Amino acid sequence: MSDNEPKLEGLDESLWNRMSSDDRVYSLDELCNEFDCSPKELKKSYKRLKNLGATGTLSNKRKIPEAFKEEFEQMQKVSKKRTRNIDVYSFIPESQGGTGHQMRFGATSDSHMVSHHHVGNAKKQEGPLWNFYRMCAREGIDTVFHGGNYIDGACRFNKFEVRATGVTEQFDIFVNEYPYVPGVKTVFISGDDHEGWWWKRDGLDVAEYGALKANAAGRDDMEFIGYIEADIAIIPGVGFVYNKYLPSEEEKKTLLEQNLLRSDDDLDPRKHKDGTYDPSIFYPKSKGLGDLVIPKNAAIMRLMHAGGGTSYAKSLRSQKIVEVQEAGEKPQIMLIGHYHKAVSDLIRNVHTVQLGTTEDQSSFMRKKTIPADLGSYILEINQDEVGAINVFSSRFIPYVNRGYNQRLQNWTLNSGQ
Amino acid sequence: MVDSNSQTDYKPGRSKTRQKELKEELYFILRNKSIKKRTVHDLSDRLTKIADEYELGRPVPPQEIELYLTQMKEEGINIPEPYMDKRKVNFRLQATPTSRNPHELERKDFPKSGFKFAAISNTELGNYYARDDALLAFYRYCEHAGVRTVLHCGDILAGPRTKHTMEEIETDDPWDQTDMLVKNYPQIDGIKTLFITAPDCEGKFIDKHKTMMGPLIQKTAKEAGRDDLIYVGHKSNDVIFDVDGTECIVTMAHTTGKVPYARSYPAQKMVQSLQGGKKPHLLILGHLMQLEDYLDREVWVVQAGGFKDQTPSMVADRQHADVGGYMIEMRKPRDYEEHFYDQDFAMIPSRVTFFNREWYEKHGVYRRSHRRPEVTKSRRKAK
Repeated sequence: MSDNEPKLEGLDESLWNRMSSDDRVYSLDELCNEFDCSPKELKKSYKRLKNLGATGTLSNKRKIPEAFKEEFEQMQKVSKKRTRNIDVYSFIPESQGGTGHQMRFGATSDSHMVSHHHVGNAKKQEGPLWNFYRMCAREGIDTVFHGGNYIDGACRFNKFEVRATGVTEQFDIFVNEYPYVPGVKTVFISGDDHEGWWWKRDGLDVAEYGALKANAAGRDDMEFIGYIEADIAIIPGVGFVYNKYLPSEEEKKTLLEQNLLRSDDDLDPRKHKDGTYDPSIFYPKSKGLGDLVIPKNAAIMRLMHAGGGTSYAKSLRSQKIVEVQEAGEKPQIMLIGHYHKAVSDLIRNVHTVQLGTTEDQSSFMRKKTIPADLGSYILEINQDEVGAINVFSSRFIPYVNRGYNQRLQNWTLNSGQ
Repeated sequence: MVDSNSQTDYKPGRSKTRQKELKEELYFILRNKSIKKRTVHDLSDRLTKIADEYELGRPVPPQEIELYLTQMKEEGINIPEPYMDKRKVNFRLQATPTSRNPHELERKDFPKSGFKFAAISNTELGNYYARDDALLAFYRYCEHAGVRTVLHCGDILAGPRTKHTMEEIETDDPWDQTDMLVKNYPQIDGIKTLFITAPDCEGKFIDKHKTMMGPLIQKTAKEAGRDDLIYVGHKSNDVIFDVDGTECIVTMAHTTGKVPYARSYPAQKMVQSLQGGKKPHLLILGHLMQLEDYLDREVWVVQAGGFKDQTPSMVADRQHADVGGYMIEMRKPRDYEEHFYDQDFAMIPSRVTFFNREWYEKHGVYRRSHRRPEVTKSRRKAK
């Protein structure tokens, strides 16, 4: 420095002397430690010296303190982790070499057989319901669960949209026209609307009446298990176990042999556990599983006919139904009828399926802007040895209507001729 | 003159002061929004000045700038087509990946009877709560079922830490997360994973570092000897495959936003928003971590779930987490399925669900290896 330049003091002088050596790149950390100053002060000083013609550059390369070096090196390392192995064979059925138990069954709902809007022709044996049952027979499915509203009932707003109004007439049509395919049986739950209107108005147990009518007509493929909701136990290696109206002697014997029934008398829910008999109990009986001996590794499937209005979001009603279940009460599978929607969800570890319908949009649904998902389901589950459902296959078989019956907007003077 | 073959270990986005390469300086100039003039000549002048400061003793000609730009583009840094400003060509970095054409799978991969594939989402590797055990089990199950294609609908990486997820993500560095993915993502012979990148998680890396994460993941995997991770697009893209001579269009999409109370609502709205004539046969949706399937407006819809446990931030946000994925078969209706008119394909979805880790520990479902115990015993006897 010449005599004409301002004299440097303190940090500036020390830094000037330091930077006039051969080193070109100086570590900020080292200089701060050497001159015992903060990085900010050093940078200001450096800037002043640069304006005066100093050479060299400052490097603020990050320095890791010794105490943290090991952790930093660990952070830098990206290693392959050891992953725990879940037993995959519990997801694979026994027939394919695994340890799981596979079951296949069909599910449908809301047929409204007696309604003008039911899609299908019993005489010609065609329509979505007939096609579905034939498909089940071809695929080797022997059980179909029906989610309710198998007939249309009688009310002030549907009396001109049904083929018959009386309860006997409607049940006669139902047992004669409901699809019959050898090898396939249907398990029905009764809803509290449509067929359930007779219970609400007149006290008729529609489920029992349906069972009696089916029995009288020789329809041994129709089984009625309850009103609004009923549980079915799915036992690995055994199959479906449930209480039904009017079980045959053979069925009672089978349940006793499999140690699934405590005694023969337990099938009548009017009998109390203490042995007394109360004929006044006259609420349509959901049989439930109460008197059956269900092992711990059984999964529970609840067949349910819900109520209330539908929603724009398909899954909303299923969510609400699952969420109001009490703790410890939730089944593993819920099959829900009533909403004429088809959607399969997993809600709070419950596989819920809304079962669709085989009735076209009625005038009620049309003006309320309620869509109808025509079709039925084929369901396949895999159950592990603990009873958990780990694979759930829900195949929806849609049916596109395209005016099968008639469309209101296509009505002409010649309609019906 | 810089030799184009002498590529150093250049990693953009690292600490500015660790490497003094001119290419890195160029990268930071392109990122700097305050610098207006970005033609090749302007960039050449700037870098020459920087080279003087570093005392490299040479200028940086325009030819070198063009070389650096080409190299950066090949490495995946998103330099789009140059834009014209007052008749001069400027360059800039862009955070939005460009759209891609639909991904067509080769026809030789498809059997005549139908096509089976898997659909998953939200694996978020790099998050402490990611379910690597469930993901590995799912891939093994797919192997057993004969599935050779897995469609991953986004959130393949955990993404950067946010103020809510500070303690949930292992590392904040996109390259470290990519390395982690390449080392830990299940690799099963014969199974390929087609993935899209999402606007959240890895999308935030794209915004922050202006780096195309999808090509970076694919490239890093390839360098590590894995050709099973294939990048398909960003946010959403179509995958086209052949089912018995008919084209089947599957849209993989990653939606955004919070999870509404009604689970099916976002998917329903998405289907309804699709333009007529452009609807796919199947829409697979990721992000919401829900497992659901249905048919809406003649489009099959599947929500692909996730492979991450509910994190503390999800609990605070009141969000659920369904752990699992789907195996889907798309096939032509058979002869007796005469009611399928108007539906080109039948969809048979199988939902594979997993529980939390404690459940598997409690029921003794974890194994030392993935082989059946009888198999290992018989092998020991044979020895």
